[in-house]
Amino acid sequence: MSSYSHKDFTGLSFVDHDLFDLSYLTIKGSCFFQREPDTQVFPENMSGVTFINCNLDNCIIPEGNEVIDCSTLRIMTLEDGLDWIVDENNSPIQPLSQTEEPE
Amino acid sequence: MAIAAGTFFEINSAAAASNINGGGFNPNNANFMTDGTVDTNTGNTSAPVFKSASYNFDNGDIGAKLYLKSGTNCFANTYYTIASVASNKATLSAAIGDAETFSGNMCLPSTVVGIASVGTPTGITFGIDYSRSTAAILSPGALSNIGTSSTTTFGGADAKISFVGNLLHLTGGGIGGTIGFYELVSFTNATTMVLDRGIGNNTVGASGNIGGALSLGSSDDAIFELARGSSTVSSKYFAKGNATYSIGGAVAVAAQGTAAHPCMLEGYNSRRGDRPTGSTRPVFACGANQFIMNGGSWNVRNISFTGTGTDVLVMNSANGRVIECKAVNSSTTAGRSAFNIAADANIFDCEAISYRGIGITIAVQAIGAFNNYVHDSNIGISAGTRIPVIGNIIAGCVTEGILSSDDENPIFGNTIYGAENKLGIGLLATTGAGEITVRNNIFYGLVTGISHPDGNTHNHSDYNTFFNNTNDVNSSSNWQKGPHDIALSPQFSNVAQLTGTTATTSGSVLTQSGGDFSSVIDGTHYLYLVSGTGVTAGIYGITAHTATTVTLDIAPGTNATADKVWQITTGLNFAVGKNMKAAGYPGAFPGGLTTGYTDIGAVQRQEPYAGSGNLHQIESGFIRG
Repeated sequence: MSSYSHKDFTGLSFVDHDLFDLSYLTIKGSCFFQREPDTQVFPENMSGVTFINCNLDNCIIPEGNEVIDCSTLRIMTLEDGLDWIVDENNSPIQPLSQTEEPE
Repeated sequence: MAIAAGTFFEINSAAAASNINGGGFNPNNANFMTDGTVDTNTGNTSAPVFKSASYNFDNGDIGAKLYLKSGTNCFANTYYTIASVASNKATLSAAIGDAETFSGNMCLPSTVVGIASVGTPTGITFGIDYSRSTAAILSPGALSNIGTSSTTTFGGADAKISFVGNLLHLTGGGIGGTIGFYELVSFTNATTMVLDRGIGNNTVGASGNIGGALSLGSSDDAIFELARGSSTVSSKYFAKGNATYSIGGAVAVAAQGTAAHPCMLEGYNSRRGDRPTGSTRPVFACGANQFIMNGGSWNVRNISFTGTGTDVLVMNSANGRVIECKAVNSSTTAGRSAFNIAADANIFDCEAISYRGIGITIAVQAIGAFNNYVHDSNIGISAGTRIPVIGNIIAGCVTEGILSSDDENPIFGNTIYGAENKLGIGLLATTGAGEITVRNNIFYGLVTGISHPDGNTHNHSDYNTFFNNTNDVNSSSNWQKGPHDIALSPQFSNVAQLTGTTATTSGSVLTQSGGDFSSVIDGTHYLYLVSGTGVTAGIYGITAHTATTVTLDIAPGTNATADKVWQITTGLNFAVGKNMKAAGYPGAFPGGLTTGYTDIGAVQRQEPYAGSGNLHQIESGFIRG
C-alpha cells in the first residue's frame, strides 16, 4: 500500500507534477474527487495503478489502470443549485442529496 | 435477534479493504470465559501474565485486546493489549495510559497500573476483542446450519471459545446463506458456535471473516446502519486517526441510539478515548456526498470532515451532538454549509469553514452553537429562531459573522473579527427579526458591527466593545448601543494581516511581486481573493507557499494582469488584553451583594489564580513584599 493511500486529494491534479509518479502503485482509500465531470486528474501515460475503495468521482482514469470497489460517478451542480448524478451527456439521472426532513 | 445494541465497531485505514472484516465486538455478551487469573503477583503490575484454564493463548492473539469484563478487585470494563504470548499465557500492556476504560458512555485512557488492585486476582470474566487487528483472526470457509437455526457448524473445526462476542462478516452466502454481520454469541466446541441468528436456511459452504477492523470506503451507510440503542447500552464506532477515509457512497444513517445512551462515532489518535482535536483526527473525505445522521441520539466527535456537497456533516439527529470536530466545505457553489445542525442537536468546540457558504447552519429545531471556531467562510453562523450563539470565535467571514435569520437569538460572549482592513458585517439581522440579545461580544475589524434593516427598539445590546469598524451600527434608529458598550481595542495577542493589490495568477498559483509570505502556514491560513481581472473572488485554502507565491487548493483563474487584490489573516491568536478584563456582564448581580468579572468576548483571560477580588490580593502581596 503506497504513501498515497488514505489521503484527501479533493480537487487536486497530478497531471503536471513530475514528483507525483503514481505508476504501478496500489492506492487505497484516497479521495480524488473533482468538481466537474471528466476532469483529467492523472497523466495520460500513467499505468499499472490499482485504486481500491477510492473516490474517483468526476475523474478520468487512463487505460491500463485498475479500479476496484471505487466510486466513479459523474456529478454536476445543475441549474437548481443541487448536485446531480449525470450520464455521459451530462443529463440528470438522480439527485445526490438524501437529507430527510427533521421529525 | 440482530447485532446487539452496545456493540463496539472498529474502523482502521490499514484494515482489509471493502469492509470485509468482522469489525466489531460486543462487550455485553453473557457467555465470556469466567476463569481468568494471572501468574502470582503480576495482576497489579504494568505487565500482568494472564491465563485461563478454558483457553490456551497463542501467537494469533498478539495485538488483540483482552476485554476484562468483571472480577473481584479488578478494573472492570477495560481493554488491555495482548503484548506477547508464551506457554499459553498472555502478557498484557497495563501501564498507566495503556488500557482503555469504559465508564458510562465515555472511553478514557487508564489511570492506574495493572488489571487489579491486588497481585493475584482470580475468577475474572473476560473475552478477546479481535476487531482491533487489521486482518481477520479467522476466515472460515465451510459454515453451515440446519433450517434457520442459529447453531452454526464450522466445517473446518476451527471455532474457538475466544471468538465469543466477536462479529462474523458473512461475505459468501454459499448455498442458502445471507450475507451480513453476525455476533458469535456462544461456543459449544471446535465445530459448533451459536450466533445471534441463523446465517440462512439450510446453509452450506458459507464463508466470511471473524475479527479484523472495518476499512470504510465501500457502501459505508450499511456499516453505520448496524447501530442500535437500548435503555442500557448503545453502539459505538471508533475510527483510528492519522488517516483519511474516502467515504464510500452516500451516508444517511437512520439507525438511532437513545437519549440516555446515545450512539457514538468517535475518532482517536492512538488509544480509544484520547479524543484528538488537531491533525491526528481521522479525516472523513466525503467528496460530493453529505454525511448525514438522521437517526436520533448520535454523538459525533473528534473527526474532521471534508466535502463539497450541500452540507458536509448534517446532524439531523434529535438529541444529537457534534463535539471537537472540523468540517471544511470547499465547494465553489454559493450557500453550502460545513455543518448543518437541526432537530434538537447542538454543536460545540468545533472548527468550521465554508469557502462560499456557511460555516455552521443551525436551524430553529436545534439547541445552540457554543465555543466554536468559525472562519474564512462567506457567513460564519446562520442561526434560526431562538438559537443561542455563545462563546464562538468567528473570524474572516466575507459577508457576515452571524446571520440572525429570525428572532430571539441570544448572542453572548462571541469574538467577531472581520479583518484588519475591515471586512463584512458582524451581526446581520433579517427584516422583522426581534428580541435579539447581544451582550459581551467583541465587534472588531468590520465594515458594520451590527446591522438591522428595520427601525426598532426591541432588541437589547450592552457590554460589547466596538473597535476598528467603519460603522459600529448601520443606523442608530435600527440598533441602539447599550450604556455599558465600550470602544476599546481588544488588544488581541497575535493577529496580523498580509495584503496585496498587484498579484497575478497562473493555475493554482498566485504571485505577488515583492511579497513576503514567510509567515503563512500551509493548511491553516486562507487567502481571500477580493477582486481582479479573470479570477473568481472568494476564499481559498493555501497548500504551499514561497516568499512571493502561494499555491491555492482551487485554481482561481489564470490571468497575467497584475491587479489581483488579496488578503490573508495570520497569527490567529484572539486572546485579549486588559481592556476587556472584567468589562462584560455580569457586573453587579441583582440584589447588590455579588459582583462579577466577565471579560468581553469568547476568550477569557487567564489570571494568576482564581477567586473573586484576586487582583487586590496580588497587589497586597507586592506591598507586603
